[in-house]
Amino acid sequence: MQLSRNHKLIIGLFLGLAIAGFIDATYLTIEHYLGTVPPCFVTTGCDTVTTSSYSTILGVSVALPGALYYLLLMVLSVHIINSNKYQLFKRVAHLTWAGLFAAIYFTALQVLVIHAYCIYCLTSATISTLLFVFAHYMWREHHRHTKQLTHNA
Amino acid sequence: MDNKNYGLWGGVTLGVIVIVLGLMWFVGSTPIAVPGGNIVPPVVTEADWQTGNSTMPVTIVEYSDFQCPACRAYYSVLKRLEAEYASSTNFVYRHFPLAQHLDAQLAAYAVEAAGTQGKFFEMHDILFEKQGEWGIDSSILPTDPKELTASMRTILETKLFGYAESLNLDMQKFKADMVSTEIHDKVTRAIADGKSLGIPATPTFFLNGKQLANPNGYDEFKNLIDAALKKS
Repeated sequence: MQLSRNHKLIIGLFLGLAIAGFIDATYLTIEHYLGTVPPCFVTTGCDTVTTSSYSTILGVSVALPGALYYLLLMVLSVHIINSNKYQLFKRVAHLTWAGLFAAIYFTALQVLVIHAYCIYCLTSATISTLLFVFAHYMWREHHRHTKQLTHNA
Repeated sequence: MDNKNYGLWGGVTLGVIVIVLGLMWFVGSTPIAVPGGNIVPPVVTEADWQTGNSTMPVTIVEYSDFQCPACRAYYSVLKRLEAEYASSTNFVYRHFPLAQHLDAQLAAYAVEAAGTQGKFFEMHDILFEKQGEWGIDSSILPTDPKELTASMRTILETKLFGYAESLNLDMQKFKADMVSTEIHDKVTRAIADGKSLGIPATPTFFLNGKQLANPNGYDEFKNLIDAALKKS
């Protein structure tokens, strides 16, 4: 697939967002296991959210699987860029559904149940949503390109 | 895998390690518990109950218990200091009700419930000033605060609810907040935070993040604040 300037920009943004999500989730994971509360800005209630009963599942900080999720997306996007296997965006797009569901679930918890907002969690939700959009866009672009090649042949 | 790929994935691995170690260093550079009892509290946030604000040159954090006699004694000292250093010192109150003071946790709920109506420190003051009046016999206090017995309710109505009424609080809201999960969780979290820091007793004070040996009265406390103000 011949990449346009826009495609390159989006893949670059995808990788950048995955790195930002990894930093955000890893920071929350470290704060959790050190028993400290991250300083809050823009929103109020970071401590309420990050120490609520919803912040762990079976004793594991929910930020930890988040960090691993972003790490996986980072590795996959580097692999795609390195190998030019843009068809892998189909799998990446499927994977980003998990991030989108997590983003909706944790944002709903903050709005409807905890009634407090954590800027780090909202940032992660925004990143997951953008990753979902970009991955689906790239998958669609690849699909369109493949279809065009088949048609031309 | 060719050399180029080794270099790429080596770089990615190194990048991940640098991010993780960098974040650990960053988080570790903020105050946390120091082994050996020499502890510093987490940074004061806007979620803390405080008389001033974070821009003030001196911050005093107190871990306290409404039923602790020593806390009552220091309450009088702190009231004088709060009045004297209102423009320069931020006094922060953190809950640390001790297990042996079974009513103290309930008192913390009452103060938090008053706090939702903007009267945290007013209720805080009443509970310390009337500490000898509202103490409930521990034997009738239920383990789960949601399971208030009839006798408990009577005591609450005559004591804590009475104090709330004297502050002109919305009583329906106050009573609902007293048994709300949100407030119970907040106090439980405060206790867990205190324990994780290794708070040894109540009251425990920190002046600009440094734990104090409890000052011997008003003059000694005042000298410590003056010294900190000179340094700032």
